[in-house]
Amino acid sequence: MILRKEYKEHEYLINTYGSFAEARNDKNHVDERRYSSILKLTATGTLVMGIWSLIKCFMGMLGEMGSELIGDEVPLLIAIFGSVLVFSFFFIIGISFRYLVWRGACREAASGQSKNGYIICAIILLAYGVYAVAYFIYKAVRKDVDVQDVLKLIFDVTSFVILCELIASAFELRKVRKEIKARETGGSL
Amino acid sequence: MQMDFHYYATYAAAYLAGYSHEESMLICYSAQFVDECSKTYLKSIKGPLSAATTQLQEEMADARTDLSGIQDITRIWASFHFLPRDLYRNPKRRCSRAYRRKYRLICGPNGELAAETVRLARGKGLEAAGIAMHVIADTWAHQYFAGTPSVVINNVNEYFYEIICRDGKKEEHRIRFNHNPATVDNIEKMEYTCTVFQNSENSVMNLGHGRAGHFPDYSFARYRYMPAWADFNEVVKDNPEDYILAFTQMMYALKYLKGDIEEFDVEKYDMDSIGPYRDEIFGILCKRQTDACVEWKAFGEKLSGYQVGDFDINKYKDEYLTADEDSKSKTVLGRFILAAMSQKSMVTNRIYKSGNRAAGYSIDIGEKGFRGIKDYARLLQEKESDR
Repeated sequence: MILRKEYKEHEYLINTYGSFAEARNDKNHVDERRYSSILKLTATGTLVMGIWSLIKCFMGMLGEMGSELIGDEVPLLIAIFGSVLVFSFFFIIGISFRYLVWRGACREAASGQSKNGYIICAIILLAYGVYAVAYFIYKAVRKDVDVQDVLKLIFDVTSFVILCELIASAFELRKVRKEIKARETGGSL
Repeated sequence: MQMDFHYYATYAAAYLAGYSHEESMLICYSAQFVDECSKTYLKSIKGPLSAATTQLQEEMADARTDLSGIQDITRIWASFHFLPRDLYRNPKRRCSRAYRRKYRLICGPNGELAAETVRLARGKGLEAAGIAMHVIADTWAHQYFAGTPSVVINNVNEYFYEIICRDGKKEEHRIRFNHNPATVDNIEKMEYTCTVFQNSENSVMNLGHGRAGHFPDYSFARYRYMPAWADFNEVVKDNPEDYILAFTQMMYALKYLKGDIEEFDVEKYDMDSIGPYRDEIFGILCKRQTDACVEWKAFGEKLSGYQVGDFDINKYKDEYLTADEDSKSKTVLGRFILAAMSQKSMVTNRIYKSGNRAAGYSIDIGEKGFRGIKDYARLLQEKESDR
């Protein structure tokens, strides 16, 4: 009986069918897979948050319309037209930025195309997150916070954390890929 | 594995191990019957439902996923198709107890349970030998998947590449999975059907290699992928090499069951006996096709000089149905049922003894007497009459 270890070293297989690929489980490759998975996940999270922010914006706008915009002095048509304009503006800002982030991050995770455009978009969204938190603190100091504000804060903080994770994993992924490339080509970093 | 290996290749292995044509036919029939002996079939012959060795798609769709249902599923799939390699190993990272229990059910060859399976079949007839051959073969094909529904163990993602050797060069192609059960696997386009992703941990969609479809069963498959349990480590699977090891391990086990060898140990393969046929066997294994029945059948017939009849699920049905109650256990199906219950009982007991309740409870008859599922009383009676 031939033991497995001896069999593995059997030259017959290698000569006839070629040596077979080994699993690439060194730290760099494992990290590459990890960060690419995180990047893809956070990109999807960013997009989902965008849809949620859109709903939030729409609901908020409806509330505003009831209380302030649609007064006796504003005709209904103008109010609706204005609402559509505001809504479209937020749609473009909210969704398109997040869509760009999602598309860029997914491409980078899958094919290694590293473009900075989506990271800039992510940083802009991050800046909005900082503003939202600062605004909440400002309102909290003035004791002008209601339940809706707390819910908005939870959402904004979640979105903020996801974006931080996305940006961090994008940079880590680039670093790891650079190291892998340098090792494979035998060059220095 | 599929019928090509479980039936025709098992026939060839049995014949090469020294069994006669008739004996080899019975062994390979039993090996393939493990994939057919569902509760639905057992109901049709009024057999004990506890002897079920597989579940049909219709049964799976109807299966309960509460604790008792999951235990029933695990008993069947872990005992016959995804035999755990090591019931005491721990994941590298800290994890919950529930996760550890499922992690320990991951299938793999050359485990202690595989050795026990073969030893258990000794002296129990050719039907038991066939069951053991099915279990041994599946430990190679189904390794890295667990015979219990679990998304955290069995799930696969889009990181799934087939490795092909063309003109001495290795090529890697990403495999695309779709969920349309009406489509057939397309080897050329590398499109395979798999189960739908369900993030529910205990969904039957996450049983075994369902998330990778039939692809891990194909003998030509060489692939790299990232199992859900591996913490971003990848696994490379070389089915042609694994299948040749399965084939030679089966031959070694069959020689042991026949009495030609005194001891059965894992990590041993009867490489010497396939010497003259090695190229032919590799040729069959490496050929890119979803069904290698024709090639294996021709190989078996060339070896023995007899015709290897196609598998007929009802071949021994009448014999079982017409036998009276006392002599049912002397028929082919009767012996298969007893051997299946014996195997299921052994695996359930070992899983239970390892502190894992994933397959349910197992009672030590010596201490507490007979309790539990009454079907097993028949197994006990047979054991006592043997003594």
